[in-house]
Amino acid sequence: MDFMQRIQEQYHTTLAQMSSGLQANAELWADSHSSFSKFWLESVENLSFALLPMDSMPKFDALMGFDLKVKDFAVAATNLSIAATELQMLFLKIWAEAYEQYRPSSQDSSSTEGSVNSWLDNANQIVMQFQQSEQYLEAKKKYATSLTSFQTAYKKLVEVYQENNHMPTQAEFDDLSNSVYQLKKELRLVKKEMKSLRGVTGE
Amino acid sequence: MSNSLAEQHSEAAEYFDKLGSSINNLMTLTDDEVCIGETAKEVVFRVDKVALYRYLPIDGVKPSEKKPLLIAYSLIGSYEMLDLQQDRSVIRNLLLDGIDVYMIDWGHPNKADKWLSFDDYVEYYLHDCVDYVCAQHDLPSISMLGICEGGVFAACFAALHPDRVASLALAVTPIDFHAQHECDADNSEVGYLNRLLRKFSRVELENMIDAFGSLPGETTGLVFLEMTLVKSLTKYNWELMDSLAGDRAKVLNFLRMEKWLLDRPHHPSEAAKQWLIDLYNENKLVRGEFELDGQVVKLEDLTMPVLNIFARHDHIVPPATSRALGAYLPSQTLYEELELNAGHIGAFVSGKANQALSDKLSSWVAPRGGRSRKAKS
Repeated sequence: MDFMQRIQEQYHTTLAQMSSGLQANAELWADSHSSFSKFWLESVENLSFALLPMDSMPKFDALMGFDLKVKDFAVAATNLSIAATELQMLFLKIWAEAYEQYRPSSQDSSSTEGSVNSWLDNANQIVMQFQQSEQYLEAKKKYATSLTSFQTAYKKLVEVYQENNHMPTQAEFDDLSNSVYQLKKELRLVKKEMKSLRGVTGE
Repeated sequence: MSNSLAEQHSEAAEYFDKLGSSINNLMTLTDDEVCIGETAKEVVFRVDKVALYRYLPIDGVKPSEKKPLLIAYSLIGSYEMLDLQQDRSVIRNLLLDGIDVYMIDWGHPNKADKWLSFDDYVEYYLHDCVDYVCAQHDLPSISMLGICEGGVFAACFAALHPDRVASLALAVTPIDFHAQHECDADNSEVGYLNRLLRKFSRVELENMIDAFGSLPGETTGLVFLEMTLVKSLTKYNWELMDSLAGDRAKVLNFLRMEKWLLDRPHHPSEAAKQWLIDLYNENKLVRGEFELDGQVVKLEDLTMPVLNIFARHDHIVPPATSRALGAYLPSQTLYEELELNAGHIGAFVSGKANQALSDKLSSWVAPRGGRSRKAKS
């Protein structure tokens, strides 16, 4: 066994150790994050239930619903964080699997560039196959729907700020742009009818 | 292990050479030198943010006896992909064949355009552009090329107005969004978007698009990057030296593509709902349920000659979703397929595929012949 071969084996052993260490840490992180997120969600829900049971009560005018919007935002942000962590964990898992399945051929390891390219091609194939799996698609869906809820809750909070500062909100702007759009559409129809009428009368 | 210490040193030296060359190229090149869409053109018609370009004929090239060709690109990305650089330009190839080429630039929609739908893009903007070109050339019909989403626009227009389209070419255009595709080890990424979108309900997708007010260009860019995740992750580190080192012509090729990728318009909200829900999710086009301005789009009304171009390694629009078109056309329709050994973008920018596409397309443009509109009336 020549020197370079020993070095390469040492390199693969180190990577394997790093990979298993990373996976163990990732699982620990996922567990901790999940526990903390659950605790945080429960706290937000409990706090809002204890202090602001407004779903069933008349709203307080002075607060203009801001309190509930803050609660919704906190819940959405936490759910997004959970979904993002789950997705990251899946990536770490598949990355570790890609490493475990990687068996370099002697041809691949004839140069550093060849070795790295071979490893990347292998990882690319495995990651892409994994992206077709139900497990990944479900996690991706959860992330996308959480992101939607987060974005919606965030927009509502921003609108409170805009209203309180006499700034036009996106909803108001949408009303306006929709009116312009509808008007343009009507104008287009009128023009079309006029054109066809001119054709009939030969003007 | 075959590589000796000397070979390792040589590799390291080669790497540092590349690094030096890359830094030198980046320091000496300016953004102005990275030019795309250079073929000369002029705006001949404009409505809202949509512009219709006419490419100027190349000096010394005899005009062909063919009808003008109107090109509709997708709302996702910029039409300049067809003219990234002079030696790989579909537009230039067509001009060299004497074809009169018109291109629709959909512009950069913003939140004020969120209400624009397929109905507007097909029955208003595209329709107006066809009217303009027909009027300018005194013709009842023209030839049309639609690319990706623009191909769906073109197919819908041609099905609703078959008398206005003398020949139709579709490139990397999904028609049956649920068509089965191969899923072997060599093309495991194929159909990811189709599968993912089918996981969502209509309401979930509507909420998602409404939450952002459009389909942001940055989001579509990220989705494309995700489809080839490892390649995307290594593009700006491991592979960057290879892209930036070496002769300037090669580096400019890379930077031109980067410039094109950077320009990702936002997709109007209502049109995005039709694209992602009605088509990707519910596959309404082949089910005969896709309506524009109250009219059902029937693929069996595509009676003009149809050329269907798709790319074998297309991971964005799987070939099966394009090829499905053949099964929905009436038997009398002249139908041909061109399979390119390339990917979704490579079909237009790789040297070989680009030339094959241009040559076939050029032959597909309908002869002017027949009677002009005036003669007809």
